Amino acid sequence: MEFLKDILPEWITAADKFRPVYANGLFLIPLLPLLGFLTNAVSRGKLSAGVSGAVASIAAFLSFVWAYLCFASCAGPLASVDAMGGIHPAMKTVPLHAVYGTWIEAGGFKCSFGLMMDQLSGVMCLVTGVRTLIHIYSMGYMAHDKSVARYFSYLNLFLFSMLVLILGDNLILTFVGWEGVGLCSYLLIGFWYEDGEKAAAGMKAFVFNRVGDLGFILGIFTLVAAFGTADYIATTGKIGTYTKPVVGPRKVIEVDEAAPEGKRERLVVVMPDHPGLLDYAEGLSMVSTADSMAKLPLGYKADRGNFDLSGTMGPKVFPAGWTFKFAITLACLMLFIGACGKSAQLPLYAWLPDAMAGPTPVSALIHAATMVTAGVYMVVRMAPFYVMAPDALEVVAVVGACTALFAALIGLTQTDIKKVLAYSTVSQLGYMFLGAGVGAFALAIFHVVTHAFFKALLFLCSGSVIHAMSGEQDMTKMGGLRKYLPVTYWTMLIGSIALAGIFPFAGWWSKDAILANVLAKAEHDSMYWILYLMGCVGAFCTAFYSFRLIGLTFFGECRASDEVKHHIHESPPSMTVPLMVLAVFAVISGWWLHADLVTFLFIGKEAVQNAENEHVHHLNLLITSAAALGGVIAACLIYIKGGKIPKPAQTRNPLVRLSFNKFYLEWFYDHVVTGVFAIFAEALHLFVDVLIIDFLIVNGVGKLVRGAGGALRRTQSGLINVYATGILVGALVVLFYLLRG
Amino acid sequence: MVPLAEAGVFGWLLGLFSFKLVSCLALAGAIFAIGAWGVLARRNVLVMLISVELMLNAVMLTFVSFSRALVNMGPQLSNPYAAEGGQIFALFIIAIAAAEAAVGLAIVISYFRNRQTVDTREIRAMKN
Repeated sequence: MEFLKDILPEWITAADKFRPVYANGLFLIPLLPLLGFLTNAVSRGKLSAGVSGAVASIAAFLSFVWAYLCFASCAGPLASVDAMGGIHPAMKTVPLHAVYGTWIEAGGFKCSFGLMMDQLSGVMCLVTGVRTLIHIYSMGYMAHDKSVARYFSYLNLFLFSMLVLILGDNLILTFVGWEGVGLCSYLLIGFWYEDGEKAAAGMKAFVFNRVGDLGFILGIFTLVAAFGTADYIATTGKIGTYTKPVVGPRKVIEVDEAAPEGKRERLVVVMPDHPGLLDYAEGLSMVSTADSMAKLPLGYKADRGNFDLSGTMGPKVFPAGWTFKFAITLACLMLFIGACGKSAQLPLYAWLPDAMAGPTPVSALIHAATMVTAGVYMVVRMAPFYVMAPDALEVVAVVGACTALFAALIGLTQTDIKKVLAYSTVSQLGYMFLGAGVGAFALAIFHVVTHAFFKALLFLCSGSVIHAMSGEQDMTKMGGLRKYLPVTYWTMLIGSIALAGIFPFAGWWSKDAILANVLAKAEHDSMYWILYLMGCVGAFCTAFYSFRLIGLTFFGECRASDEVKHHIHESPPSMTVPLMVLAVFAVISGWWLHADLVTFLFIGKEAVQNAENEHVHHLNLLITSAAALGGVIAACLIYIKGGKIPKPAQTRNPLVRLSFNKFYLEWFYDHVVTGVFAIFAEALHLFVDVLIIDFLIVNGVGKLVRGAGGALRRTQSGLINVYATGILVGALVVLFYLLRG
Repeated sequence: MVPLAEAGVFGWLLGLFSFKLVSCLALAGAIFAIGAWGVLARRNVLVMLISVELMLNAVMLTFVSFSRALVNMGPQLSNPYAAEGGQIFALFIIAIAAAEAAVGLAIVISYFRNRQTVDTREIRAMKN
């Protein structure tokens, strides 16, 4: 990614000199959107729509510029790396890391408030750079809304939370951002809260996320219990604004003089003084790989004692006999449940399609480009642990492949333009997890990047279409918009080609590479053939539904009512310019980044090398291209040439009905799961609320006091002498006890 | 008590009239008991007030008796003011008894003006 650095003047990226400045200044990246949020939040509607939009957009833009400068300074390998403290083995470059203060200190556990930018969080930061375009687009889209300031304040608060999620230097800070984006997602889905259905969609998103968050929290607890820290990387242990990067675990050959059979050499993994989670992961993997390679006795220097993957746990919080491997697998699975909730994977996917109730730019920003990829980011961040837990990784791959296929099948028959894109998002997220699941973590992030561009583009285009159609979202009532909305048509066509995965558009580079890795893995493990097949069928469906969308929306006769037809107009420049910018990225980003990004991200490098295997690569190229082109041609034949208008609600075809009704999974949630919960809640209500709290505690205490009062009332004779006798007797009793010693 | 034969008449008389803590405490206890009986048994509020005064005086007598008994005992108790405390408390009690009597009498008088009675059997507004 040196090119990011090269396009800046040298005095800005004179990295060594400015590193402390950039590291100390990391807090500015989330702070600027926070200031934008506060400005809009306290304005109480006094700012005009243009001003509040401009404030939010400028805050987002400045934050992006600063993030870019920071990123450029840590992008290239540094000349004087050793002077800086060495390269962290889990990261190719020296991360910018600043610890601003102690946050939680309880017993031996310490959690500081710090921000960190390495290549992964840097890439994610730049992906949220799509945000500035979406802010500008929103200024046009939301111009007529009555609470624009509220909208923009939520949007900036979301950015703040997302950046805290990405830049936080420990799992707990990441969790804070994680909850923050969940909250903003809820607020923005239910932005038009007067509409009960939209408010309910917001609540649904929140509840589904809550299920995932429970898993995330348990995952954090497991890791903290196992390793005693939640930090990602080692710190100096001091609170300072700029923390020099600390060398990670190192292999050292030392002479063991205390060995029973005399002096001998042994390989020791030396941990830094205050290791983070990734250091532990790195150290553990060094121990386990060195074991088989070096055939030397191993030591593990760390304050938590000697351990290796299959050794039993040291701390007492775990049941006896637990191994580190088991604890790591458990933690990875728990974290993945969290990722499932946030990134809408099976079985927690159902909130994302409903989240389309929010304003369309929100769908583009939160529910396509940034927030839903937080789960992928977290899994990739924890990649060193996942690599050590192949069982967990297998679960990730299976869930990802199932989601990719399942959501693509649902997308085939939907008629709401945004619902199609929503299911496509779920499906693409499935591909990202499939990629992570086969160990191609960098490719998962690559797909996050390309997907952010073309999916944001598609959503913003659909917003433009909806805007033109006076709020109509049903594709069966559109058609022939090509001549009314030329800019939207062309940009959306580009987005669809990118989504379908046609060479050389962005989607092809990332999706093809992921599938190539699945195929490479399938050579060793036949289970992955099934996953590969699912991925290919999913790719066919993706191409089919994206061109079905194009055909229904832009081709054929216009099926709108005359009144709507009268109003159809191309959107204002504030909306079309972001479309064109994103379209450019949707075309070039794959080709532009594919070589650099993957090597730059470094994580899962071995898997990438697998994909270099030539015949696997060519075979995959053939299969995926055939699937994508087949989908495109089939859709064009049916919907553009054939002019077919789908009526899935009336059809008798059982397969179409199954897909249109989302495989009845939501019916299952609405009736079975909700029903079981309702029974459970009713039982709890009757037992805990009615019996224990109401009857025993609230009314019981009242009745007891009342009865006791009534009984004791009789003793009050009103005769002062009796009272005086009571006092005397009491005094005598006290006296007796005191004198008795 | 020292026998007459040993002490001589003068010495015996001196012993008879000299300070004895036990006698003082016995007297104070008797007065306190009389006062307590008056408070508990009598029905007239005025008499009860007088009885309270008796009790206070009994307590005061106890204080000054101990004070007298502890004169010159300072070094032994390692407290040079051992004797003064009782006298100070006696003064306190005199002042407080005066105030209490004034307030108590005022209440009794104003109650009598309203209800024409000071008999506790009739003053039972707080019953139940």
